[in-house]
Amino acid sequence: MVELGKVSTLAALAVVFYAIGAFVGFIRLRDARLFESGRRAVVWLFVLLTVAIVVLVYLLLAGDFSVRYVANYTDRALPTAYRLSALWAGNEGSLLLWVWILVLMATLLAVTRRQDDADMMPYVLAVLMGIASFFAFLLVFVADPFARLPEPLADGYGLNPLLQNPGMWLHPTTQYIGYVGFAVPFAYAMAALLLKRADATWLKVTRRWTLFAWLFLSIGMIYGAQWAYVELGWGGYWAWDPVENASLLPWLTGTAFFHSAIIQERRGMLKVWNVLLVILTFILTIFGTFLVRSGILKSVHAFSDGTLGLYFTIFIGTALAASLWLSYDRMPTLREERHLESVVSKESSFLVNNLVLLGMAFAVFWGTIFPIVSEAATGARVTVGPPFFNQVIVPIGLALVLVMGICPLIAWRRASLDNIRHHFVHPAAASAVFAAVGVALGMKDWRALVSFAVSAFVVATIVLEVARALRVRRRSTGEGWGVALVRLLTRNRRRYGGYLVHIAVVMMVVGITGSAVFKQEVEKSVRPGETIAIGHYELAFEGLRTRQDGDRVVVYADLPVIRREDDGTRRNLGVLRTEKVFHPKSEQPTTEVGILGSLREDLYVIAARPSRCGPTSWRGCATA
Amino acid sequence: MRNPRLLAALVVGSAVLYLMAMGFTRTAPYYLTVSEIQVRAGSLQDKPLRVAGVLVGDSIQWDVQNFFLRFAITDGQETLTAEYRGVRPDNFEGGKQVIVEGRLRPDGVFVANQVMVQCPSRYEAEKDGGGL
Repeated sequence: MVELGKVSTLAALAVVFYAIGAFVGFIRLRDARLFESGRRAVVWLFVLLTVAIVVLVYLLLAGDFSVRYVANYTDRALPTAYRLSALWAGNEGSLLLWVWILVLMATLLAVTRRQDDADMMPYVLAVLMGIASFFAFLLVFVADPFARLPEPLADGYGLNPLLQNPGMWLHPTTQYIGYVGFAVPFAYAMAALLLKRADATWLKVTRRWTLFAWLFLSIGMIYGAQWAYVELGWGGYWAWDPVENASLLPWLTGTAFFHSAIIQERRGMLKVWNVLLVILTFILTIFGTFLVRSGILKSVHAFSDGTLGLYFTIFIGTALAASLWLSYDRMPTLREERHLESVVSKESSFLVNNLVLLGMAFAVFWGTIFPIVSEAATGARVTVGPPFFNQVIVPIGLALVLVMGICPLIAWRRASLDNIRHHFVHPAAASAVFAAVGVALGMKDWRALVSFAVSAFVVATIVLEVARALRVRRRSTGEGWGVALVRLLTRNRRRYGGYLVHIAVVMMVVGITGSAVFKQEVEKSVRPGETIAIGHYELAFEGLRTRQDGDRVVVYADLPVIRREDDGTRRNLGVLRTEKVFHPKSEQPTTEVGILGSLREDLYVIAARPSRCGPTSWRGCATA
Repeated sequence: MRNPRLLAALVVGSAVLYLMAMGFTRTAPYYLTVSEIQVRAGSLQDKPLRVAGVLVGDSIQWDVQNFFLRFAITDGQETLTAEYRGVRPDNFEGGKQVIVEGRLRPDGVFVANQVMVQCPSRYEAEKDGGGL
């Protein structure tokens, strides 16, 4: 079986180069047989990589500890579901999965025929195969998933206990699909440049790909945050860890990209800008993969493999230089069809949105790579942590949310002062009322007030927009409220889908603000019989218990929770369990957090240092 | 008509740069060794610092009632006494590589606001945290 895996990756490397040759040959010679042959090669490449994945999965499930990868990331005690997930637990498997997803997308493009992008397809596939060749090269020469150990082991080293969580199934996979998905719009952009086509076809064709990649990247990040929240046990969900930042960067530039793409589609402007944004986004997805896989920055995710880092640097450098040179060379064809007509217009508000997103990406990028830069420049490693990011990103983020509220209200081309006054009075009043109510209810923190007021503004603009469109529709069609609403939303999905995402962003902003500003934290050592009070909760500690769970020892406590209501009554909320799990193969115990969650707030309890002889320390936070 | 764009870029760009500059000067800690701290102690008062060193086993005093931890770290030449108010981290034992973040008090004691124990060797598995 191991040999089959080795042969299939080796054959994949040969086929990928053949495919590149075939597409380049077709572009030169215009011989249709070459193009057909190249397309078949793409499908064959997909088959070969699928075989490699199936073989690796088989080895992981069978527990063949003569294979280094299997021994490094699994052991006999590991449940089947996590043995499967070990496919993406290490470098070799991750790279294999990465290129498999890429080739799957290329195959989908190769087997479907469309009219509008037929002339671009050879270029698109050639670019995608060029990217795939780099990963195939790594799989064969640098990170071979099928490498054998000199001596087979009796048992493997096992999977890091922190990874044994359902998040292991959702977070890495969605993150990968998101990363890889941006390769498609990038390839189309390169194809348009090579063909000297300045129109928006590449944007129209790739819009769905971009949104698809963006959606998966978003899911990946949100699920990653959720995983950190329940598994790492430090009470947070986002630590500005280099790897988290690495996934945020392409998300920011990708978000900027599909906003500015609208301007090119509608108004024929920002052409160079769009090309640069898609290049940047693609390069950042590779950079993200590089950050994780090279171990250049220490983080919770840090890997260590020097040679891999070198190859990634070469690849990023080459891809960046080639795509930028191409854009520079084709600059004359990318002339704008129109100019900005007025400073106050939808176009310019999109431009501001783009600038703010890019400014945010720049700050995150700089903060992330600063340790490397400072070490190279001064010899001392200066790191910036969460305080830096919070201080810089929070104001920019609020500005971004504000732009998000303003943008839909401004007319295309040229907005009049009357137009603005007409549209802004009500949302602005709504946000002012909201802030005033907040103050009246005793909310003193100005950061929270600003954030909630801005959020209320955005929601108000969206609600008013929908209400206005609904009135217009009813007047012109005479439909009932329900029918009109459904038809309105489904007939203009692009606009209202966007609003839906905007509302989701506002919900996140409100949640992040709440958890940052209204967090209460209590650390207390308790003996059995003592209680811990936090906010309006009371937790009783009755003692620690121990149980054996397979080869693990679990120390846990069941804490009855009582909530003191405003009217003085005491409501019993049941029992909250929190655990420390001691694994035989690792010195460090893992934490199972006790979370009592509601829409309003979370009660989050972790055992800090349970000890059976002395008092136990508890740490809890209630988050509004 | 290029001016409005340029203006917008300048305004947003300089705002971002200003925020970053403020963020750096206020929050960026210096990464130093224990010896460097002892040599430059005078010039480091009130600056955010980050120090790595090996935990001295018999220096650890842990007051479990008040959540107060006192310990010393060394780089083989010099030692640095540190205090930390909070939960004693897991695996906080002599010989472990630790990183402390905080400020230097005038009396030369390091007041940590964060203490991190570097993961033990098996925790090279830590390298895999979440694939991506």
